[in-house]
Amino acid sequence: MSLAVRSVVFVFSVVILVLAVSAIGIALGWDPTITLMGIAEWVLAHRVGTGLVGVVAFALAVIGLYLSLQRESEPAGLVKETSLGTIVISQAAVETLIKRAAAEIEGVRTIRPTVSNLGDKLAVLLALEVAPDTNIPQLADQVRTRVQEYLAQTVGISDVNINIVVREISTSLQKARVK
Amino acid sequence: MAENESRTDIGSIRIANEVVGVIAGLAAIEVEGVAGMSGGIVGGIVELLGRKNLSKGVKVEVGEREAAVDLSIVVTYGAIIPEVAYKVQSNVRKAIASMTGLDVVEVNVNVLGVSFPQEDKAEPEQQPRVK
Repeated sequence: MSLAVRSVVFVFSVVILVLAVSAIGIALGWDPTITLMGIAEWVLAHRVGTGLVGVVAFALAVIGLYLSLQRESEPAGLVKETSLGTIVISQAAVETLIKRAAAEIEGVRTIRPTVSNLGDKLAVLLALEVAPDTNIPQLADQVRTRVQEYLAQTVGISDVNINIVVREISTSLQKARVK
Repeated sequence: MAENESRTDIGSIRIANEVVGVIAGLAAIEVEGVAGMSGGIVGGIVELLGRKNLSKGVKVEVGEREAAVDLSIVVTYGAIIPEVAYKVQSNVRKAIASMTGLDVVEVNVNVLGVSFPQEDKAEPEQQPRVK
């Protein structure tokens, strides 16, 4: 989240917070009439300042609306050109394939792949949760080899850079009864 | 609805874009390795409403003599994706050309997902876990 977006979110959050506290206060018996009269008096006495605050609030509201309605750009896919047109293999499809291939390796419990730099080559970050009593470097090598082989076979791409992060050692006591 | 119109000696022939879309969709799912078309949210809603959407996941642009097609497909697990996509391209091109006479200049294939056999709802009964 950029600084501009954070600023807009912060301002809106403060405004919502003030409104929420006021609503709760009114519900608990607070009479806002005097406060509101005071604010109205101050506003009428400082028209230029009020106008400036209004302009800033308006701009923030427009930015907020624009950001909320902005569509996230579709993640790029693996693009291949053929004589008949373009073939795009989506990032989601590649991630599904990676998950499946990595899951075939014994000792891998969960896989969270992140695929980036799509175009003509792939960069894959695999966050793994592995079973206890596993030789992690060996397992990582097996996963890397399997994913590379599988992507070369199914997607036809051999230039894959795979980084593996073992995030967790599974503490689940439940063990599969059969393989 | 946009239509492709050609004139003959005894009148005109119009082929609706929808028709070209259906031809492309059917030609695509014929290819081995294609699990189905991916139509996004709108396609899903149309199917939920009970209407069979034969042009789901297909976008066509039809001119007087040429057509360009964009397809969104889901492939079956284990398929060699570039091979499947290329077969889809040539099958769609052949089908549209032979049925409408249009010259297909571009068939773009987007592979949006992978389908696994065990995820299919058609599985008749639960298999025993051990033999």
